[in-house]
Amino acid sequence: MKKIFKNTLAAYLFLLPALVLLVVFTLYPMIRGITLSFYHFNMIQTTDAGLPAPPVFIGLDNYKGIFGDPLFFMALRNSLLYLLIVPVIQIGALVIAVLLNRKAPGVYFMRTAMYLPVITSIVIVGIAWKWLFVSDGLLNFFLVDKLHLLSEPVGWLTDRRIALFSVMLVTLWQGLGYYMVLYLSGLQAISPEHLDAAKIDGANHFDIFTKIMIPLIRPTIMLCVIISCLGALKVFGEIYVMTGGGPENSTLTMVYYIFVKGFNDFQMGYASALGVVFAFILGIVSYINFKFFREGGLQYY
Amino acid sequence: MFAGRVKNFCLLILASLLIIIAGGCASRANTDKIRLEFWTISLKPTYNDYMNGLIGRYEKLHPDVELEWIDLPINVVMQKLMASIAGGASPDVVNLNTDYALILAQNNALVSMDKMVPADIRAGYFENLWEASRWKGESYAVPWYVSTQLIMYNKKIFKEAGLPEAAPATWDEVVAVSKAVRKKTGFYGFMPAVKLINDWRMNGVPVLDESKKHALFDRPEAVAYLEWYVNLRKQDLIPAETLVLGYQGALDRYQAGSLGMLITGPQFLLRIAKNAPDVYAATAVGPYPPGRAGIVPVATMNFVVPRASKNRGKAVDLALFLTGDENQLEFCKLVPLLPSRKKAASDEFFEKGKGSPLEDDAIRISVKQLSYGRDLSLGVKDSNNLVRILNQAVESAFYGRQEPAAVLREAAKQWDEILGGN
Repeated sequence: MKKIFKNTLAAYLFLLPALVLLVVFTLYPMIRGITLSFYHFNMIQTTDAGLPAPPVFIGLDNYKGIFGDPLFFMALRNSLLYLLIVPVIQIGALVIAVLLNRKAPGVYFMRTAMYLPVITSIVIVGIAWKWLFVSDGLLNFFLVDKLHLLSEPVGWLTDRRIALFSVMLVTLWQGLGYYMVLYLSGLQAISPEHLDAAKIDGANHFDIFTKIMIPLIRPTIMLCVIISCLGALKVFGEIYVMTGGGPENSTLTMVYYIFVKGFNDFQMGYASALGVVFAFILGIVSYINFKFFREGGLQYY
Repeated sequence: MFAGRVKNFCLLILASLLIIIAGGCASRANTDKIRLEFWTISLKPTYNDYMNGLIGRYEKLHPDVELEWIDLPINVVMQKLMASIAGGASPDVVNLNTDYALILAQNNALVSMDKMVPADIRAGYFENLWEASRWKGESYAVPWYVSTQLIMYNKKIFKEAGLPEAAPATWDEVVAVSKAVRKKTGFYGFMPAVKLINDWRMNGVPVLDESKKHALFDRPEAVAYLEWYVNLRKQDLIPAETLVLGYQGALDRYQAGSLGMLITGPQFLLRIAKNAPDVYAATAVGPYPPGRAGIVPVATMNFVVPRASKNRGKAVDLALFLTGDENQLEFCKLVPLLPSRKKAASDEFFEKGKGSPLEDDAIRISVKQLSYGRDLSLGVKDSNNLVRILNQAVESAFYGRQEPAAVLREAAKQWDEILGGN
């Protein structure tokens, strides 16, 4: 008994610094956010004595407001639309990972090049893409003037039907390398014997890919899909830098809307309520992911 | 053996914690001086020497005070300030534009400068600037530097377009010039930062009624200004990205030498000179065409003192020092901006200039404009929210989905709902 206590004590001591940070920077804000969602709270309101004005309890009013707020549904719709990026980015990253998972000249260079956008700041990426996207920018120049594929320039960031997909393209471009690395590590963990055995049994490349590789890297796929689902739903930087939610709210996503409500309109209580509702939605999406990937395959989780 | 290790480990953690705590205490305990924290917007690193000079002089004059200068980009200053006030660690003096100052004043977050500053010192500031931050009869900010807008134009592009080398004097001329530039060179003539509220107020079109509870911009005379922009877009005289990229987009285009005119404050001359010397060499400046009301917009930077400051009196004193005549004049000699104090503005420097023809032109025009310039901030509660609603309406009309009259009618209705609740 004493030994077990000593063992666990050491373990908890090692965990302590991380736990403290987690409590202070994650758990506390989370709980505070949930309580704030029942209050009217404007962070800059000050009492005559110069103290922050206390929040005013308003019960469920913030939540009632949300369900009558057209911008909430607009933002939710855009965030859910953003999920379309997940299959594209995952299949793209997986294919690239398979192609780069071999010994050939230039492979290391390609891997590095693919990873470069990941470590580039979103502000720089956003500004660069904004320049590519403008009506007389490079992209339109190629499509209209050089390749003559289109008769007039595309309003990448100004057409409300297209703007969200333009921003998604940037997320895709930036994210591919990240998932590629995760898939590469998954692929490299596959023991060569499996592949050799398959070859001896007469499997072609496609069979090896679909019947050996995919099932064996299923845990990696699940991890990547969950990360990218949450990433897509939480998209903020691209919107902040590139469109500010416009034109006509066509790129207003949930996290950006929460930011606007909190820091532009100073309605912290309402923003917190939006956050709580959105966290609930994120929970559902993650649950579906777990459920889906648990069926069949190897049950690691 | 193992127990010993655990013990050592615990001791190590304990020691580290103690060192950290002790370090934290030490940095606070080494002085009995009053610490004043003041924030500025986007001055580092270009104006480090100037600011450090000011800090040195102030600390010499007030040996009991220690200043801490923090410089922030404008787009984060409000967020930081909100967090600092809510967290009980408010700065003492903060540099804000009038819109932000008014938002804080409306939330009781600032000390009244009318109450804190003696009348004789107040009288030294231009009245229209002092009054711009007025909320419920009191002013909440000490004006610092001011800029009026100018038209910068690219002489090379004008020449290519067969235009005379002169800035357009009216908005009709601006359109005519843009047509010529677009037709002859393929570049756009200009890329406006669309601010309908400024347009309306410049032209004497009422935005709100007397009670400030009803929006009046659904009237035809107001709708005409939105139609003006929509028509410019329809004729492809301004870029489609005008609303999405805003002023930064215009500046980028101008610096790339692909925009005929840039509507901007004179201080941006320095940036253009640094980023695009060729374009700077081809640039000339002209006055901003006034609206029908005979006024032009003025952008004011102010100092405010949050109510949460623990040393309000000292903080106001610092704000007055930073905006003092001599200190402002010294700053204006570095960057083509205008001072908010009458004595500083009457200095012969603003007539003579500093020998850089373009900047001197810009300054001379600016000084002249200051006499008919107004800070056009709206001064109503929830202004951020209202402006956002209006911007959405503008977008709907600009991209041709809805008629200007219809979108402004809808926006006015939404404004009424918000304003009626105040």
